[in-house]
Amino acid sequence: MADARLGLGTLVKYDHDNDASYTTIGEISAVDPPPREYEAVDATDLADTLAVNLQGQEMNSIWSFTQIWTDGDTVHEYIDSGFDGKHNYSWQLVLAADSGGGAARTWQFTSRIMGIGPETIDAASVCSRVITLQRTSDITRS
Amino acid sequence: MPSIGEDLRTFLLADSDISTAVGAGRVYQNEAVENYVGTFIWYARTDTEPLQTLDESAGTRPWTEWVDLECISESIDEAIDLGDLIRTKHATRGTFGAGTVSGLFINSQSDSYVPRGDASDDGLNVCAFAVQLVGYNGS
Repeated sequence: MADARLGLGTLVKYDHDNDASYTTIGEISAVDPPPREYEAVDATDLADTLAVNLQGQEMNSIWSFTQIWTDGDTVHEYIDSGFDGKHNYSWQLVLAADSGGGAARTWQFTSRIMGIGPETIDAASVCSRVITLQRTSDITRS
Repeated sequence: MPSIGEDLRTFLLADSDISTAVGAGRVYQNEAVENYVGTFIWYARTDTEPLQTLDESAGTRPWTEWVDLECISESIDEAIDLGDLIRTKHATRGTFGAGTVSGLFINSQSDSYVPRGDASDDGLNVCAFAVQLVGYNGS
């Protein structure tokens, strides 16, 4: 078997009070990590036979996660207060250890909460919501 | 090196509640017992799925392996109770017998599943699962 990393064990954490200690947001069912992409700067001149794009600045990006949602839960309320206050929290995405024994990896970056989207509430399903965030810094990976 | 079947057996019997429920290590791979009494577990590996990468080497261990697992008893209550103990293993990761696993998931069997470990004509009660083992590494 090739060494590979499974989603089970992935953690999403945030520093809601800017004290460099991170709180894990539990019961997350899925996360779409922040993509990394440079702005493409057109540098094609008349002598080129193929369009030329230069790498511009790294663009900010949208990421999101889906959580089982308990309105009133202390940790969940930090997200709501972060949205209300437009706070720029520091976040961590901790990827679980891989199948070959490789260590867990941590992505750290700041983000603002751009959206809180409760999903349809029906009788037989757990309440959940999608949190959408705008990345506001580079990603430090370690 | 133990096989995945041996590691699964070791993993299950390491749980004292499961080992007590089945008693005397009655966790059987791929064969139904005869003249049984009480409660036991039957299991067999049924499918494997490789990662299917372009540079995969021949002989690479599959990434995902599926095991049919049955909790069998004369008593419907004991079969269900043992099934509930098996369900507590859902989302296990880390040590798995002498090896490790990235994730172990307990899934229900399909409606059309036909039990194979119950000697069929004895009228036994079966609580059946499809166990998904992901990222298993033997010792």
